[in-house]
Amino acid sequence: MLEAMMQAIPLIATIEVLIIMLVGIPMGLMLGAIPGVGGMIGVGVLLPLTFGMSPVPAMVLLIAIYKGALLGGSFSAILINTPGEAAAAATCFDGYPLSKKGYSKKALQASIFSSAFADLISDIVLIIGSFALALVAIRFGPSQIFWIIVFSLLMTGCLTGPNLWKGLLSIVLGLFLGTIGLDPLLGTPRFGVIPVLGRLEGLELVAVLLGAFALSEILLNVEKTKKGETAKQLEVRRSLGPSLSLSEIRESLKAFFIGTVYGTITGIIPGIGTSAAAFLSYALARQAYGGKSKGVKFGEGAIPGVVAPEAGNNAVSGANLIPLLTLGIPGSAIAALLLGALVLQGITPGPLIFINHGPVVYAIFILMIIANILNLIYGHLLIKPITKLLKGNPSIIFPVVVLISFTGVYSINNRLIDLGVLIAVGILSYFLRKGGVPVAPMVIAFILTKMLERNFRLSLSLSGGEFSIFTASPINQVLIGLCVIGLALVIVQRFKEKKLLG
Amino acid sequence: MFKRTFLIMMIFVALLMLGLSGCGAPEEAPAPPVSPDTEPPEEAVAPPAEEYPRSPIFLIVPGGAGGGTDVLARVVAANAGEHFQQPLVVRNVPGGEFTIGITEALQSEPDGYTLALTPSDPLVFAPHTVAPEYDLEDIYFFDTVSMGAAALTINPDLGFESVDELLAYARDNPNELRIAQSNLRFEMCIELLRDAGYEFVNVPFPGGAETTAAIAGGHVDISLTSVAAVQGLHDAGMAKILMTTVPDLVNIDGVPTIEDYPEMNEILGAIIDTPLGIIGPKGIPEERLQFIHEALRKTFEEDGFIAMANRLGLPAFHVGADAFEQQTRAEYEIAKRIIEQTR
Repeated sequence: MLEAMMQAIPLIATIEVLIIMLVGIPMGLMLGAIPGVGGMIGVGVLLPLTFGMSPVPAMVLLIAIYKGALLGGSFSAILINTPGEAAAAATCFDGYPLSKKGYSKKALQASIFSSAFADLISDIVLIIGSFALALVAIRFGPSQIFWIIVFSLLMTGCLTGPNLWKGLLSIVLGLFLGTIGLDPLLGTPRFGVIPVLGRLEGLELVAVLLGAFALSEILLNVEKTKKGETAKQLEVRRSLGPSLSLSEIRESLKAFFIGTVYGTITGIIPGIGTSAAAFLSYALARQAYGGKSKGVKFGEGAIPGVVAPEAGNNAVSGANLIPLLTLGIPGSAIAALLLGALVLQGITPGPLIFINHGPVVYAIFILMIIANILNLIYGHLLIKPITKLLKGNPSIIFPVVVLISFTGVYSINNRLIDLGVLIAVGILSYFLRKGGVPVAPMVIAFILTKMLERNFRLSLSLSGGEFSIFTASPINQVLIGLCVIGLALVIVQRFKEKKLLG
Repeated sequence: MFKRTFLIMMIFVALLMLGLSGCGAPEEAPAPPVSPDTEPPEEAVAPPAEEYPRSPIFLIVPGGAGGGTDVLARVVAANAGEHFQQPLVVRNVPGGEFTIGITEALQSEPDGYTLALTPSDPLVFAPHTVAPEYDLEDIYFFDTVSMGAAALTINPDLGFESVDELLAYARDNPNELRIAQSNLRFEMCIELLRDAGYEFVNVPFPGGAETTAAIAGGHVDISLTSVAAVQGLHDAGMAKILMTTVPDLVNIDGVPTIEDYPEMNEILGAIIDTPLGIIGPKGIPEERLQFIHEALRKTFEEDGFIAMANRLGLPAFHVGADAFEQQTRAEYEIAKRIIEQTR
C-alpha cells in the first residue's frame, strides 16, 4: 500500500491536476448551488472532456465536481430554503430558520465544516478498509435493505411534529406519491389516471423536493411580503451574523458523529442513496438530542440540525466509491457515471483493481482528500458573496429562483411533465403547511416507498414466497432489534415532548 | 446598483443552465479525441445543397446519464462532430422503460436534427408491455453501433464447471436455482429456457448494479448481465462466468461462448444479445439520410471511437440498416409470442 502510494505521487504532482482541482471544485460548488442542477449534470457534461485525458486528471475532474456540488447544494438550501441538490433537502429544516433569524454565517459554517470533515473521514474509511468493507456490504441483500428502510421510516416518526395525526397524514401522502409510476418489478404502468405519470419510473425526486420545500416556501412568503417588511426585519434577514462559537461546535459533535457514521454505512451499501442518508441522519440526531439543542428546538434553527444532514450526505460520497472501485458496483447514479469514466480509461473496477492499477487508485484517493480541504477553503470564501447574492430583495429573488428551479428541473430529464410535478407538489405543500401539516415526513416517505416495495417483493421472489427470509439471517435479526429499539425511543420521545408542551 | 448586478448574474446563470440542459449546448461541443493513435481529422466534405446540418444535432438517449447506452452515446458524439460538421448533443430523456425518449425521438420533426441511440429493447419489448405511442413502422433504422454481449454467471460455490452441468441440474431440480437479471430481454431468456424444460426462479432486480451485487453477495445462484458488469468479479474468482455471447466481439480467456453450447444457442441465440443502434423518425429527406449514413460510417471508422467502444465492453459492430431492421423485427415477434403466452 505504501509503495503504491509513493508511486502515486508523480501522478498527482502535475500542473494539469493542480489546475483541475483549483477550477473543478468552485465549478462544482456553483453547479450544486443552482437549484435542480447538481453534480450529476456537471459530471455528465464534462465526461466527454475526459476522453482525451489520462486517468488521474480525468477522474479528479469528475470527483472535484461531484464533491463541490454536494457542498454547494446546501448554500441555497440554507439561504433560500431551496435545496440546490436533492441531497441538501434535509439541510433546509434548520439551516433556513437559522438564516432567517440572521445567523446565515453560523449555518453556512456548520454546513461547510461538517461536510468537509465527514467527507474526509469517509474517504479515509475508503482508503483503509475498502475491500473488506465491500465484502461486508454485499452481505446486505434485498431482505436486509428492507429492514434498513423500515428502520428509516420508523425514525421519520419523530419528525411528525406536535400533532401525530397531521404527521401521519403527511406520511400517507408521501407513500401515495411514491407508488405512482411503473411497477418497480414488472414494469407495468400504475395510476393511469394521468397516463404519462403512470409510465414514468416514478415522480422525479428533485421536482418533488423543490416543490415541497422551495415553491411552497415562496408561496408562503409571497403572502407575507405583501404585508411589507420593516427596515429592521430586512436588516436581520440580510445580516451574516456571528461565526460559530466553540461551545456550539462542541455541542454539535454528537450530530456530526451520527451523520458521518450513518452516511458512511449508507454509502457502502449500494442503492440507498444520499438523500435518504441526509434525512435519516437528521432524524437520528433529533432523537439523540431529545428534540432540542441549547434551548433551540429542532426545526427552528438548531445548529446540530444543520450538521447532521450535511455530515450524512457528504459521508456518502467517499463511501459510495467503495463498492464501485472494489466490486464494480455503482452505489448511485453519479457513481455509475464515474464508473463509465473509469472504464473508458481502461481501468476495470473489481477486486483486483489495487493490484492492477494501484498507483492510479491511490492517486485518486489522495486527491479526494485534497478536494475536501479545497472544499473547506472555497466554501469559506464564498460565504459572504453568496449570502449577499441570495438575500437580496425578495421581489427579485423569488421570481428568479422560480425561473432557475424550473429550468433546472427540466434539464434533469428534458421532460415537461416534471415541471407539472414540481408545481403540483408545490401547491399541495403550500396548503399542507398552511394547515400545519409538516411536509418533511411526506418527502421522506416518498423517497423510501419505492425502495421499500421493491426490496420487499424482491426478497419474496428470492425465497419463493416464504416470509421466513425476513428473519432468517443474523444481520436481519440485528436490524429487527434496531427497529424495535428505534420505535420504542420514538414513542418515549413523543410522551416526553407532550409533557413539555402540556 | 446591487439589484442590477444581481439580475445580470442570475440571467447569466439561467442561460448557463439552458446550455447545460442541452438546448444548443456549446459546452457539449465534442472534444476531438486526443488519444495518441488518432489520425488527424480528414478534410471536411462540402455540405449538401440545402446546407444540412446548420445547427447541432440531438442524439436522444432514452435512459439516464451514466448507463451503458449513455456513455456509448457520448463516445459516439465525441467522435461524430467533425463528420457531421456540427456537434452531436446527447440528450437524456429517461423513463417508462426507455419508451419516453423513443417516443420523443420518433415524434420529432423528421428533419434530421433528432436521432436516438438506443438498445433495441424499447422497440421490441415495450410495445407488448407499456403500450407506447409508436410501433416499428414509425422507425427509420440507420445502423447498429455495437452489440451488447451477455454473461451467464454463477456463484462459484455452486461448483458447476459448464453450462451443460448447470442445465442438467436445472432439469432435475426445477424452480430451485435463482437467476438475477434486470431487464426484459433477460426475462424473455428465462421464459425461453422454461419452455425448453429448464425452470429457474426469476428475480427481477432494478438495475445492473443491484444484479451484480446480488451475485457477488451470494443472494442468488445465477445472474444474467452484461459482460462488463461481472468481468472484475470473475477475474478475482468471486463469481464465475460460465458463458458469454457474441463470440466475434467478446472473449474471456478460458470461458466458452454460446456457440460452444448448441442447445443454448438454439434456445437463446436469437434474443440474448443486445443490439445498440441509431434510429430516427421516418420521413427524413433522402439527401439528409445519405449525409447521416455517410457521417456515421466515417465516425465508426475513427480509431478513437473504436478504441473507446472497446474499453467500454461495447465493441464497434455494424450490421447495416437492413440487417438491423430485420433483427429488430425478429426480436419483436419472439417477444410478442412469449408475452402473449405468459400474460
